[in-house]
Amino acid sequence: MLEADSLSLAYGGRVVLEGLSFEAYPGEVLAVVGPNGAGKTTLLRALSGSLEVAGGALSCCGFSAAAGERLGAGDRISYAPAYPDVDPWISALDLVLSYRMGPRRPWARPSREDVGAALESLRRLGAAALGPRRTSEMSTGELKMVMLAAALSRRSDVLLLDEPLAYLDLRNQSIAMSALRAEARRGALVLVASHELHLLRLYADRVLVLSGGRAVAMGRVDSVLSEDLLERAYGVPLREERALVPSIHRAGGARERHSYCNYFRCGAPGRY
Amino acid sequence: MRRKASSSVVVSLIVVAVVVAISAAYIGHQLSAYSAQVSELYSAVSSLNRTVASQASAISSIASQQQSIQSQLSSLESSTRFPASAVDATGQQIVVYSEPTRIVSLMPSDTAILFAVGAGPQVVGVDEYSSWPPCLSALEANGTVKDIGSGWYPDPEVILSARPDMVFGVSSVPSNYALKQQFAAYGIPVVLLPDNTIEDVLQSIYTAGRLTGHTGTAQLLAENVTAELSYAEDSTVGLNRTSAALIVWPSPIWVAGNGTWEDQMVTAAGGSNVFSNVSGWEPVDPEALLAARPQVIIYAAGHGQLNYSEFISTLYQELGPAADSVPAIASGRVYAVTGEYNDWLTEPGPFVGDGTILLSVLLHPEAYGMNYTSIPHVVSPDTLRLPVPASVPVINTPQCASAVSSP
Amino acid sequence: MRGGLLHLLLPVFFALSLFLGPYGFINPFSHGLGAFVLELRLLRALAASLVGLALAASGSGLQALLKNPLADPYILGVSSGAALGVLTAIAAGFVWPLAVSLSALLGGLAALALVMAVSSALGLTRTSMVLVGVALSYALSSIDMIIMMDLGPAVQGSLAWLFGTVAYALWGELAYAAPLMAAGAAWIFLRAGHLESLMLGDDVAESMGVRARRLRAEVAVASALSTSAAVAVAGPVGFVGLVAPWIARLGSGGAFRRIYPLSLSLGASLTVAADLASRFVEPGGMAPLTSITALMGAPVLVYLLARWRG
Repeated sequence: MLEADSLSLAYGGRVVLEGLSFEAYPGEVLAVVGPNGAGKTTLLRALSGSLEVAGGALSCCGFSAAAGERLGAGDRISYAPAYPDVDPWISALDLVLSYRMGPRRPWARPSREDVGAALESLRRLGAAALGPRRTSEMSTGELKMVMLAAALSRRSDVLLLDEPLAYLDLRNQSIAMSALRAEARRGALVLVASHELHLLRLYADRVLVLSGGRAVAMGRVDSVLSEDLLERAYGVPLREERALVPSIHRAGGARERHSYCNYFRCGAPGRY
Repeated sequence: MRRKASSSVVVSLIVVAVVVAISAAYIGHQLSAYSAQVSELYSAVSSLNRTVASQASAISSIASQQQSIQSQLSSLESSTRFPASAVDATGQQIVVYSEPTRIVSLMPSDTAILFAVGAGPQVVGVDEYSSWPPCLSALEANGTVKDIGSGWYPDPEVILSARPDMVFGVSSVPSNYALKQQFAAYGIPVVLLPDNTIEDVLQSIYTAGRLTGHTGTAQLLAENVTAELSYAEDSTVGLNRTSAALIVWPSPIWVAGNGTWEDQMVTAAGGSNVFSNVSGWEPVDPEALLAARPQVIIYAAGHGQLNYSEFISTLYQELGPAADSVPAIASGRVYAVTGEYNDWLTEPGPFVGDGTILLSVLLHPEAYGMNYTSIPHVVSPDTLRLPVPASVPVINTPQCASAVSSP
Repeated sequence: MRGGLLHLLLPVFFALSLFLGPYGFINPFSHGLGAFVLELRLLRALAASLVGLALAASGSGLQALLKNPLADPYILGVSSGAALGVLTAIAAGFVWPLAVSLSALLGGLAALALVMAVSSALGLTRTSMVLVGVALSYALSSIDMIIMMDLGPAVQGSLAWLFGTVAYALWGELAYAAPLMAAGAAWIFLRAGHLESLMLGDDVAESMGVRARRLRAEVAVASALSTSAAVAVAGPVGFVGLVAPWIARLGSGGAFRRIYPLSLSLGASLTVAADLASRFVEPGGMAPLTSITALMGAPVLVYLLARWRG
C-alpha cells in the first residue's frame, strides 16, 4: 500500500535521501532506524505530505506524488512529530479534539461522538487524567502520550510516528508499544522512526535501516539487525561497547556476505 | 308846609324811579348784549372744538399709519438681511433663512468676532478657552452662555445639548470638519472661519456679520480694523524697522514665524520679525535667539501665567550669561503683554488692528512722542494707554446683554 | 456555557450606549433634535462595535498565526502606516474626514505590503514577519513624530485622531469601512480550522493539508484589511486587539474555533463600553478611547489570569 520508488528527498537545500525504494503493507509495524540526520524525520515528513518529493515517486493509500509534488493523502494519514510544538494554553482534550476534527469546516464544533472518541483514545493510553490539563503544565513525556492519543484518535490507515517512545517512562513505553501493535492488528500501517533499537523486537515487524543518505537494509527485525550492521550504519565500535545495544545478535565472521555489504566495504577489519 | 314836603318827596321818588328804570333798561340791554356775545362765543368755541377733534383724529390716524410703515420698513430690512448666504473657509456656501438665535462658538477668535459684530446676544455656547469679551464669564455664570468644552476635540452631544442653530469653528482644526459633516445631516450649519492671517480675520468678520444679520456692524468693524492698521503703518512710515521677536511660550521658546497674523502685525507696526525664516509657530533653540539679536522681545504672557520677572529669569537660564548680548535684554526692551492686550496679539480676532497699534508703540515709541524708557515692562490696559487720538477707532469692548431667546 | 453568557455583554452595552450621554436620556420615539442625537449615538455604538470586532478578529488571528500571545493587530506595522497616511494628509491640507480616513486605510495597507514584500524575501516565516513589522513600526513612528513636530499647534488636531475616537464617525465612513472590516474578519473565520490545526504544530498542520506559508500570507492580509479599516474609522485604538482574544481564551479554553467568535463579541463589547465611558470621563473634551480600553481591559485580564493560575 505504501511504495517508494527511487525516492529522493531534500531538506534545506541539502539532499538527505537518495534512491530509496521500499514497500510497506497494512497491518504491519515498520520501524525506520539510522543515525541522527540520516533522514528518518525527513522521510516521515515526506510521507505525511509536509515536504515535497525531490526525485523519484512516492505513493500511499491511493495518492501519489512525483518530483516537486507533495503527497496529499489527507485524512488517511496521521502524523505525530518527535518533539511536540503545541499551543501552551490548550488542554489535552482540546488537542486531541482539534487533531481529530482537522483543518476543515471553520464552524465545526466537537460532537458528542468526537468527545467520546477523544476521551477513549486518551484512556487507552492511560492519559485520561491529563484531559483537562493545559499542555504547558505537562511534562514532555505526558505531552507525547497526548500527541500519540491524538494521532490514534483518527483511526487512520497510516500512522507516521516520529520517536513515539522518546521521553516516555517504562510504563508509558509499554502502553505505547501495546497501542502500536493494536493499531497494526486493526489493519493500519504503522511507520515508526526510532532510536530505541533494543525495543524494536517488542513491537516492530520489519525494520528499514537508513545510513549515509540511502537505505542499507530492510527486512524482519530479527534477521536484519546485527551488531555488524549497526556498527557500520552508526559508526560505533559495538564490539567494544556491547552494553550500548544489549541483545542484538552477534554476526558471524567478516567473511559472511550480507546485502548491506553493497554499501559498506565489508571484509576490511576495522573499517566501517 | 306839609304839602310842600310831600310834593318834593313825590318828585324825588319819580326822579329815582325814572333813573332806576333807565339804569335797569340800560343794564338789561347790556346784559342781553353780553349774553348775545356769550352765546356767540359759546357757539364759536363749540365749532372750534369740533374742528380740533377732527384734526386730532386725523393726527392719530396719521400716527398709526406711520407706525405700520415703520414696521414694514423693519421687516423689509430683516428680509433683506435674511436669507443670507456666505462662503466659509472650506469653500462651502452656507445659506441661512432666518436670523440665528442660538449660536455656539468653538474657538476664542470666533467668539471675539461674533461679539464684536454685535451677535453677542445670539450666542448661547462658547468653548472653554474663550475669554473675550471679559463679560463672558458673567454670562457663563448666570447660565446664559454654556461652556461646551474643548473646541479642539468638540463633543457633538455636549454641543447639541445647547440646541444650537448655528455653530462657528475654524478651518485649521480637522475635528471641526468632521463636526461640519455630522451636523449637516440635521441641517445645523457649521461655519469654519479662516484663522491664519489678518486677511483671514477681515474675511471672518464679513462672513460672521453676514450670517448673523449684522452686515452693517461687520462692515464698520472691518473698516475700523483696516483704518487702525493704516494708522499704525502711517505712524511708523519711513522709520528704520525695529527687529523684534514675538515669543508665545517661554520654555522651550516658541516663536511666531511667517504665515501668522502676529508676523503680519509686526510688519505693519514698522518692525521686522527676526524669525520670519521659521514657518508657523515653532520651538527654537536659545542659540537661535542669541544669533537673531532682536532689538525688542515681546512675550505674550497669557493671563498671568508667567510674570515678567519669571520670564526674564527663564531667559537667563536658557541663554546663560550670553543673554546680555541680546540687544533687547541689554536695553531693557523686553515686554510681557498681559490682560486684554495679550488677546489682541494672540487671537486672530477683531482686535488685530488694536494689537498692531500696540506693537507700533512698543517698537517705535518715538513715533508717538514717547521714550522707550517710559514704557513699562508689563504691558496691560492698566499700565499703558494707547497714545492715539480719539479719531482712531480703537475697539469697543462689548458689554454683554443677556440672550434673547430660550430653547 | 460561561462563554455564552459573555456574548450578552454586547447588547447590554449597546443599549446603554443609546440611552446614556451628556444630552440626557432620549425617548426612542422623540422627534427633532433628540432623534438626531439618538442617531448620532447609534452611529457611535455601531462604529465602536465594528471597530472592536475587527480589531479582535485581527488580534486573534495574528496571535494564533504567529504563536505569539503578545501579538496585537498593529504588530505588522499597520497603525504606524495609517498614522503616517493621516499625518501626511493633514500636513498637506486634506482635512476632510473622508480624506483622513482613506489616507489611514491606504497607509495601513501600504505598510503591510512593505512588510509582506520584505519578509517574503526572507521566507515569510513567523520570525521574519514579526521582526520586519516591528522594525517598520519603529521607523514609521519616528517619521510620524517629525511630521507632528513640524505641524506646530495644528498637531492638536491630529492628536485627536491618534488617541482614537468614534465620536466623529460618519455614515459614509462606515459604509465603506464596514464591508472591509467584515471581509477581513470573515476571511479569518474561514481559516479558523487551519489556525486551530496550526496550534498542534507546523508539521502536524502541514500533514493535515494546511499550507503554513500561504496561511501566513492570507491571515496577515485579512488582518491588515480589517485593522486598516478599523483605524480608518476610529484611529488606532489600542489594547482591544490584544485583550479580547485573551479574555475569550481564558473564558472558554484555547481551541481557536471556540475562542474566535467570543473574542469578536468581547472586542465589540469592550469598545462600546469604552466609548460609553468616554462620554462621562471628560464630557465636552475628549477622553482617548485607547486609554479607556486599557484601563477597563487590564484589570479584567489580570483578574482572569490570577483566577486561572489558582
